Amino acid sequence: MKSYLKHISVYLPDKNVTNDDITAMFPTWDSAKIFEKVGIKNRHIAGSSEGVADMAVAAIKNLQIETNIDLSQIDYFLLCTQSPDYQIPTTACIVQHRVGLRDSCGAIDINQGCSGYIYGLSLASALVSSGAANNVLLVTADVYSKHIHNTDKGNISLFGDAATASLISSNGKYEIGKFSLGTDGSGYDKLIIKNSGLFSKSKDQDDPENYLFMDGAAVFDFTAKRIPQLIEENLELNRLVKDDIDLFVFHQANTFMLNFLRNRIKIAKNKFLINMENYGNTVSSSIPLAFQDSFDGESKNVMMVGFGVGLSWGAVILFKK
Amino acid sequence: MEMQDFIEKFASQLESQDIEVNAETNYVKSEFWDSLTAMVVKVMIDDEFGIDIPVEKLNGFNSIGSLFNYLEENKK
Repeated sequence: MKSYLKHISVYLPDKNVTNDDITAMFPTWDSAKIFEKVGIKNRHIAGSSEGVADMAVAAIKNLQIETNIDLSQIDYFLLCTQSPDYQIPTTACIVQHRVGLRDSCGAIDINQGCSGYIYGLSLASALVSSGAANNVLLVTADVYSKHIHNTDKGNISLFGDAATASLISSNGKYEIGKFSLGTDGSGYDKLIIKNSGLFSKSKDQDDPENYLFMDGAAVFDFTAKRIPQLIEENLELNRLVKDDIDLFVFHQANTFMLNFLRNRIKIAKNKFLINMENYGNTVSSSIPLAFQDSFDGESKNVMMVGFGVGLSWGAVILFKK
Repeated sequence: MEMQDFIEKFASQLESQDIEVNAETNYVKSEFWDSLTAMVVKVMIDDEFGIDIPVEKLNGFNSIGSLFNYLEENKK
């Protein structure tokens, strides 16, 4: 059985942080050049008491408004997040209750970052294709902003908060093709919050190990090496060539990296989606958020490519019906 | 690889095509050098020489020429 991506809804928190706001926070930082290179002007930031469950609920409510869906039709709910409201219990269970999914609906969190939408789609697609589920709700939601130290001007500039809600079903606009997924755990410490789990050491609030650390050069290197290969593999798996793809939707990390990859892989500018200047890097929401404006467009074959924390990567091709 | 080829490859990594560089250029102290430029040059070096040069080391040379000499001596 085939599976289809039926709809994408988004939620962006109200608070907006502009480049001027950041410059005011770090007055001695020569930021103008960096802002231009990373291609971000604004990022939405969750409110102080706004969490992942709140944002997931808001994205699902938007999905409901936009599609008129009867939420009791959802039989499986996947919440992709790395900044859940709780480790225990599953944040997806909290959301189930708040939006009123039926109690015979499965609900779990999946912990994945910038490749998370691809992984989430791969699970949703498998559930529908196998007949195990009819209507899968895939939500991405992260509040990385709450895990970045207030002196970390680099990461403050790059990351934004957002949530998306996607519906995957046995009918819909885009047939979901075959997935290529990959992992390299030797790079686990290139994007990490050291004190985010079992081995957390510090009681000192200000310890940098309580906050997000990103080795930008290592992550850049990793994408330069892995992504061209990933695209070749996924094209072959889906029996297509590069020219058959009408639109590439990469994880929207920053425009510098995106343009570098576009050139390296030799993709035409008009086939390469960059839609992040008002959002920043929204982790697993970045692909659906960027693609949402093009969802009703004319692209027949859309390749989605996610990569990042883990280290982890994945790609899939969507075929417009 | 010849020095001139390397200089051309180095220059082609820079954001602007108008930037003039030569073997004596102290790239680390140049206007065009920042953490992002260092990343693309690092990738180019890995592509061309098979050397995964740490950014700190890349920032330790005082000219493109001395960087080139190091790479030629240590290439895989």
